[in-house]
Amino acid sequence: MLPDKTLSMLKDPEIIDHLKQTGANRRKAEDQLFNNFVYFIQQGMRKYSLSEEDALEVYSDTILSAIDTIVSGTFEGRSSLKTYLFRIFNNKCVDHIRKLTTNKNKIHRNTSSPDLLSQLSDSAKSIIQQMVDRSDLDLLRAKLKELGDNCREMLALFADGYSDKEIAMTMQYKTAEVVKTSRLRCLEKLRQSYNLLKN
Amino acid sequence: MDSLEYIDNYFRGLLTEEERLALERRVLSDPAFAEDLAFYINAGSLVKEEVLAEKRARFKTLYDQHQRTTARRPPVRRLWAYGAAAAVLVMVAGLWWIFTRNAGPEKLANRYIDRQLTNLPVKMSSVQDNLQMAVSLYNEERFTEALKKLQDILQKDPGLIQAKNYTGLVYLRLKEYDKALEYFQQSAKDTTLYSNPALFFESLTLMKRDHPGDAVMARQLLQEVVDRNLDKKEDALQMLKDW
Repeated sequence: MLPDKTLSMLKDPEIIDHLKQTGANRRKAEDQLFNNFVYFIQQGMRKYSLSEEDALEVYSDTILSAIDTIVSGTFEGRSSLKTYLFRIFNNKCVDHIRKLTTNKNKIHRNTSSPDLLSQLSDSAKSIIQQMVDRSDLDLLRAKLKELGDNCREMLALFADGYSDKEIAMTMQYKTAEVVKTSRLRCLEKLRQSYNLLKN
Repeated sequence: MDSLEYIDNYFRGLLTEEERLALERRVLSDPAFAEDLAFYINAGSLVKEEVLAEKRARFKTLYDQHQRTTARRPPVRRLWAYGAAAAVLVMVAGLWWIFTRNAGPEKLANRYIDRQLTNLPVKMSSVQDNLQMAVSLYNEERFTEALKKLQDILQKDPGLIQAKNYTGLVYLRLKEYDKALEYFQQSAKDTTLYSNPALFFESLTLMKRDHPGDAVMARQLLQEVVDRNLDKKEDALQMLKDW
């Protein structure tokens, strides 16, 4: 693991490299990325008249969206991180204002479902979308909290973009296959406890 | 194969094309399987929500720490910083004024793209259609993904002018001007639409490409947009004024 001082001096390629790693290095790179451009928040407040709370929320979304893009390997590196983040931040500020003016106050979150849904064909997507909309998310959330710590950590790492191999290294499992089996077992357990009460 | 594993493999891209199609067919014919798939998406979505909530809370703490550190800085030092910033700003504004009096076609195009084409409007909808998703990807500068989505759309509906224009814009942003021109020229041929900015975009692309003769052609196209009262007439007029 790198000491804090070294990490605080990281340049773009090194931050990108650390974000693609696991554990403490990745977490520190995320914090570093957030700290590097935190002054955008003031710009959001001045340029778009956002409240401090809203500007912080938009900026946090910007960083999370950029981390997602970098970790998934879709960041093409055509511009510096600063330029890239600045563009996303401005777009998100405009989106935020549009949502406020159309009375849709719920801020866009980077949840995984739209991404996953978009992978389906249109006919399958509309069926699944209806089922997703009908789901009892509060019940599912409650059942998720009842899962054991190991299961929750494993599912959280997976949702955060870690591969089974990286989860195996982080959580000290023997192989990626063991992680995959355990992860699917956790999901199965969650599905059963959810279906039991849902039906 | 267990249904959750099958679904997991699907979303992780581990299935063959044939297996992928079989899964999508099964969604249409097997409601219990479709429920499993919806569950998989919901569970992933909720877990990710928790992960993001934890990160947002961490960022909030970082921001509070940053604010406390900034508040502790002596005011005189900040005054100097503001003074220096103001001086730099005056210099930059002066230089900007000098260099942009006669902007030139490429600079005009750059300015327009920066102001008008980096964040295209996305329609509000709970379920995004593919075109809107392509626009969102474009706005996030995920050009390769946007292009793929647009090509899928055009494969299904080759006559969709909006998709052609967006494809042209992606190529424009990728600096692949010849391809951008190809799409805008195809799109401009369609005169049935009430609003089609293709001719204006074609002019913008020529301004960016800047080959011999491009600037003259770009100017003629702008004039044509004005004369024929086409979409983006006001922008074309302004550009002709600033030329």
